[in-house]
Amino acid sequence: MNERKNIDRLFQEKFKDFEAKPVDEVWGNIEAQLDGRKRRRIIPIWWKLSGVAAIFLLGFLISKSIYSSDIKAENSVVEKRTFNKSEKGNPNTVNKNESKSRSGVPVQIPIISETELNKTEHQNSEGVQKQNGSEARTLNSEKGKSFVVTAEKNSRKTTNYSSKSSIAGRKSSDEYIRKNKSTGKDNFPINQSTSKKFQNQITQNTKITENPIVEKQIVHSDFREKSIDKAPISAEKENISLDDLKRNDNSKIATTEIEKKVNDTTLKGSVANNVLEELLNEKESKSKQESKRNRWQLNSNVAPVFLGSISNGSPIDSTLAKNSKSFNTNVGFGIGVSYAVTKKLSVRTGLNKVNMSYNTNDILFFTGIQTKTLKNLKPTASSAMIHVQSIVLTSPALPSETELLPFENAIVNKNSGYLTQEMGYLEMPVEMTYNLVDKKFGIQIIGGFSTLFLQDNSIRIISADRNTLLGEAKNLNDVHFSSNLGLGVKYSFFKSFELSVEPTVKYQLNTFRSDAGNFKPYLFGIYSGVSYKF
Amino acid sequence: MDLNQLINDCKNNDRKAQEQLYRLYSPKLFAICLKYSRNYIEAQDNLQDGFILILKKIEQYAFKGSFDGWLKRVMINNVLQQYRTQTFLSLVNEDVWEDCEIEIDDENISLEYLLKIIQELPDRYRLVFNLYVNDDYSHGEIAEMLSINVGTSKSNLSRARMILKEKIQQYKNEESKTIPSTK
Repeated sequence: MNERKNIDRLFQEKFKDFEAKPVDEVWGNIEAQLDGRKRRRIIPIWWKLSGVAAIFLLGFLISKSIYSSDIKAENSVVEKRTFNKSEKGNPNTVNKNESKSRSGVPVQIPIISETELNKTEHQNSEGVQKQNGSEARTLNSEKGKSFVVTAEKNSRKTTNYSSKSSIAGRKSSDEYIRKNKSTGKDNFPINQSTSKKFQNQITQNTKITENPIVEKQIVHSDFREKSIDKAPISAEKENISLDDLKRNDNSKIATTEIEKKVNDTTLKGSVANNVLEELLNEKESKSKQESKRNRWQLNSNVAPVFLGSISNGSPIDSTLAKNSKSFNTNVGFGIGVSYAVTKKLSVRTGLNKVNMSYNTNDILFFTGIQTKTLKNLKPTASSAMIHVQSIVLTSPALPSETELLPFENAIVNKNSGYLTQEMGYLEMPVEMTYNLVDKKFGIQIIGGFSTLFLQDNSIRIISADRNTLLGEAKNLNDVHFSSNLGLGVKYSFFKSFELSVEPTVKYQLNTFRSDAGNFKPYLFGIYSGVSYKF
Repeated sequence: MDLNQLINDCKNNDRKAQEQLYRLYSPKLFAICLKYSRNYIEAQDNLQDGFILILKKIEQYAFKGSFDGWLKRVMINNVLQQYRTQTFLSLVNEDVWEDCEIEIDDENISLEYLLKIIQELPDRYRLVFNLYVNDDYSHGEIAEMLSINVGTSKSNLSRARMILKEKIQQYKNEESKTIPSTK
């Protein structure tokens, strides 16, 4: 049994036929995730639509405060860090940490937890150390080089070491705690599988009964604790010995020189930092340039547009106010361009063509002898004699002079049908979008105004066998405005293409010139389209 | 059921076939996850993510080469992906390495203990050790997979061996002490 062998072979042999049955709930999770993925495709659209209203409100209220507080938090944290560090009298590492934190993703800094900070610091000094190591080596090989430089490099190195070892100390204790926890968690399931395995695999342990297993496990866990206790210590030892080795690599004169120079390093450090800072600035400007490339975005959209009114009324004639209205669904389309002011906020404009139409139901129409038109209708020459009346009589008031005389009523053939008012606009939106989620899959809030220019304007009368142009509405403004609020869901699919769906409500502010019988229209469009970043 | 038929059914998103595939291969795949992860819980997560990835990518399997090998590769790559996004921690200068052949006495050391000490290795040591020793990847391949130097891979491996050896030694010492006392 006591044959000496390579450690690799030991592991290879042991793990050759290693299999472990996972607990059953893993498949349950996988299945759920597979199902979830399929269902999610259908549900969220509706779910999100229903949530639109709530998110509008919340998002708009919060967005501004988030945006401004973001910047503040970032600055204050960075300053704090540098301040604390400089107190410790470790100027080089301070500057490096600072530069690191600036060159890294700045937004993340406020959220980084302490252990993560340790990690980045650690990495940082590690990287610098590596660099120094290689530099020192080359310098040693070319001994003719100027002395001061070596000393400076070395002094930098020592400070790094000191910071490193302290960090490493902290790190290992962190690690230690974590390991302790994780092993605590692990013990149970592994032991479980152990006992199962032992029961099953008779070939491996023929003589061992269940009791010894338990004992063995206790031994294991005891041992675990002890080995963990030792782990950090050995790590520290390693560290120190390595540091010592490193120092011995360099000439002794250099090391004594270091001690003298350490105090002066602030000055030289700043020189070195200038170089670092230059590099940093270069990096920053590069990243800025990169982001600039994708600021512009060209988009096209098509949308089913639903017209609605938040109150009853008729813009055509007050006598039709109580008639039921049915709103037609039209199709709008357009193109636009947007410019990203910041990563989250962008401004956009464009040109959309949009038609809206609605029907006024339950009307009667007939040709009279006199000219009688609806209040806000500018009739065509041929339609001037067509009278339009609501089936629902609004007021049984005194017959006016334009009402039919009784004998006329008798001979007139009244047709029933409905009125359709169509309005076509060229819309120019000016909107801002704010990204709530900005990844491959994004969510944004859209808010802004549109200017609408009247293009088509007609009122038609439609019955079972007739479609007659009655004229156009007199009370439509040539130019009017709407306020827009929407939620955008987007998905980027190539490097610079994006699919987007933007359910947007556009409340029309002054569509009608005179009071339109309390008719307050709004548009709801699901603008979907493709956009291209450049 | 024929394996190719099963794979084809999985490609057609047949839930029953997927489950059968899972039942068939999860013990092997979970073993990989246990070796490459920090602990049992993490191994479960990795198995879950990895198997979903396998089901997603199974369409790409063109019946060339062994299916076992393909599964293993996808699973290992998935695990590496998990750690690629995390920062590696390394306590020592990585250019220093010595190619030591470590010999140890093979006593009846339990698989569970070996697994445990593998899991306790620092992330990259663990990955390198597993890739090299247990899954037969070369240092060149490992360097590419982990985006590190060949030298770093070698150094990591030898450090991993040293740590493992030390722990095995400790284990034995403990055992020799405790056995007399329990008797």
